[in-house]
Amino acid sequence: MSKPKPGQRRTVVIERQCRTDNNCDNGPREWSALDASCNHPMDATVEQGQDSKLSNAQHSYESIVVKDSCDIEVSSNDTQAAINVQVALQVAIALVISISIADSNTANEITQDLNAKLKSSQVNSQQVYIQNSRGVNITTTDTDIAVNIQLLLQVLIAIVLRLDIL
Amino acid sequence: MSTNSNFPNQLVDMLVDSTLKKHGVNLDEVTIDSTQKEQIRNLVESLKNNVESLNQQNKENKENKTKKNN
Repeated sequence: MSKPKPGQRRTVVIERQCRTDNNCDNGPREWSALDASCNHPMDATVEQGQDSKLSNAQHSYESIVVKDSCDIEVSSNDTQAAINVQVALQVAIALVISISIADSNTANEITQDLNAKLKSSQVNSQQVYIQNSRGVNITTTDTDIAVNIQLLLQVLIAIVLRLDIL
Repeated sequence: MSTNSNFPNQLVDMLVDSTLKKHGVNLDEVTIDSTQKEQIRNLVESLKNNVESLNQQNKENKENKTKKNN
């Protein structure tokens, strides 16, 4: 395109139109808003993959600051074991449902529904700040996981009872 | 089977039943072979023991903390 001469005005028109070609099914490709055949990634009608069963985010942020103090005892309960049990329970629920329901799509949907309803606060944030203190004992525990584990176990038992296994 | 439940069983039953009903599934009609039943039974018992030991550990930690404070 040539450079406009002084006094000459250039108008650029960009036209875009929705594509009607059905390219979404031809393998992995970036989602295009202009392609009518592409389902939106956040659309509920798009089925989630098998990995979504295990994709619950677990975040635990802990910050303890001790400043200008002495005789401070800090003990932080290790929550890794609890997280492992929680994931094991989630997998067990998904497994039992997939064994008992032949239709894998229905089984996936039920598992996703249950996980969505059981999803409690998965982010634990603890901040402790101690300044100019003496003889302080601190124990921090992530109670969110303990609560979630108990509920998951009850749901697993409820499902298994309906299958006449226990 | 009894559990040290923190949540009412009615709540859990409603949660499971409503979810299954929504998808038109009735687990009473499902038949699972005896081998798989045994595997699931062992899995549930194992997970139940894990949860109980975690609860016990938390309880002991709390008791130790109380003793220290006293």
